[in-house]
Amino acid sequence: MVDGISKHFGGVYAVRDVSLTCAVGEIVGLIGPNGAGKTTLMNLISGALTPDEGSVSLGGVSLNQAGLSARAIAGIARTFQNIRVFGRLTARQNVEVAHTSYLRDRADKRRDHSIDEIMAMLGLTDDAQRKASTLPYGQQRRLEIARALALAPDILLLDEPAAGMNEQESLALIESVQSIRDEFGCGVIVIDHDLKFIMRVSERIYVMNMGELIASGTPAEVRQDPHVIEVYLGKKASVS
Amino acid sequence: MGLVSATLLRSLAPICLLIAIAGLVMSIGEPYQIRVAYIFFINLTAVFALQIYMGGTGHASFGHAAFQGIAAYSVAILMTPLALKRLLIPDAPFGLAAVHLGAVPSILIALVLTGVIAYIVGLAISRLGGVAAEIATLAFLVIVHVIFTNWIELFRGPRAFYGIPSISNLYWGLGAAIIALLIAKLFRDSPYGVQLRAASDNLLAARAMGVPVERLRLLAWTLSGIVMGMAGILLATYLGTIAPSSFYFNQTFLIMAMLLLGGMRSVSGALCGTLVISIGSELTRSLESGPVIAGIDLPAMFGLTGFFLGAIIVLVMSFRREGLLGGEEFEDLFRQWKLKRKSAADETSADAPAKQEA
Repeated sequence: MVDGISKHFGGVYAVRDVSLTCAVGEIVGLIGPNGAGKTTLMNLISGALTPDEGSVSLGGVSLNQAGLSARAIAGIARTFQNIRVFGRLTARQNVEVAHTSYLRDRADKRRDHSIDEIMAMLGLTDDAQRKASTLPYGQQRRLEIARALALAPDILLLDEPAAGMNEQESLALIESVQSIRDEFGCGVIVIDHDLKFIMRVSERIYVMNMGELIASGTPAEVRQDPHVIEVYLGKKASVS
Repeated sequence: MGLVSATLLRSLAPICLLIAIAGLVMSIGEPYQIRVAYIFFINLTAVFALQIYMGGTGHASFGHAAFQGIAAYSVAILMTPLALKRLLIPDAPFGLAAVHLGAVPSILIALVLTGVIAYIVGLAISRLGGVAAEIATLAFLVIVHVIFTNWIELFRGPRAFYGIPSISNLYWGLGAAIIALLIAKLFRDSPYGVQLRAASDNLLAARAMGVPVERLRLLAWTLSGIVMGMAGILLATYLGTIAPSSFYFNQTFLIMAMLLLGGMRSVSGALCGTLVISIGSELTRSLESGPVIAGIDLPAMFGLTGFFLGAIIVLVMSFRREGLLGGEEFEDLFRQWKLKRKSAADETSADAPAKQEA
């Protein structure tokens, strides 16, 4: 749960007084135009940035004092907008990195997915021994998700997972995200500026603009929200 | 297959190579060759030690020769006969002038002491990244050297500490190099080694995967310090004489050049680099005195070996930053070669029916 979180750089607010929730087993979308503050919010939730105000908690436990690594162990895993696989390691070793953290540091090891199971689920079995840097773009995106899942997260943050994907790949990704939620029982927060993708994959959606939340609700509610239409799509546009 | 048995299996080829080198040298039996081979094994142990830290963290370390010195002086002070110590360091503090221990306790104490110092220094260095960490290791080297050269009561200052019992032989060197190789390989392939390499690849992503970066850097630094201590003990107990200059910039650049040439990201690279530079150094050393080759009287070229090492570092940094082996282990290269052959064979068999039809 994110409560009244703010972050400013110099005199400019990148994120201002944003609150949102994501329950375990829920897929929540976060949309907004470029520069809306989506990735900054993701960095604040994951602990890559420290908020100036507000708090982040998981299961009622405050994570304000926890950094990036501690939050990963606590159950918040993430992927990156710009792919950050460990290029010198094999695909399997990439997943092993996160799995080692889970096995070593996680207090409640309630889910038991092996590295091979996770890789199979994401269609990476055949590439397991390939260097991550040599994988095609789409497989690298999948590898980032597999790596995050190896932490057995309670909340999975996906930062623009469909970036660079065509329509068909996006549809396949929607299925993957939903099956991940079902299989791992985790909450998923998906960030993207592709409205169609977010509308299809999410059960609830938050809309940001200029660092602030301007709307939230089900995809149907957000689609009809006048603020969203005006600020995000332009006055005459509509969302199909 | 477990990590230990898999590592042992993958280490068989380099271990056999080291045994073959030792066997060849012993069969020749020339004292000079034996000495050169022994020094090779000392340097190899030191390079494996350096690889544990540099290969894992991706940070250069200029300070590891200090660990070699700490362990070497520790065994020197503990093992040297009392009569000689009364002459060399009569005013040694903590009653050390009156302490004399056997080889095994001396070596164990030296390794533990080196490990403790490495751990304490590592607490600061492991929190730093990039250039800051590298400068800190350089500062550590200078501090230890200043202590060696100025604490005359304990280390004899810049003068040589001699009379250390020469108890080791080529087999000690071989054994230490094999142990260092196994430790380096085990650490590299262990889950913690993989996590540390991930952090050197992408720090932010590693932290996001829960990698305790500082703890792993500290582990690698301490472990490499202890293995480096083995190299120091080998040196002291073979030559019988040590001096602070043995553990300063010359040694630092020698082992760094060896590691960089082979490729600091792999243990096999460390072995390759040490082999090539050891052979190259011997060749350049033979040229330094101005030999006659094919009737041509070459001039004396003092300092050629140092020039050779410097040139190696510059060339590798300029043209092949990942080193000769490109950060790969022998077994990885062999697997890649087999895969290439297999895919080439598959392509050939796929083309054959098409050609027949044509």
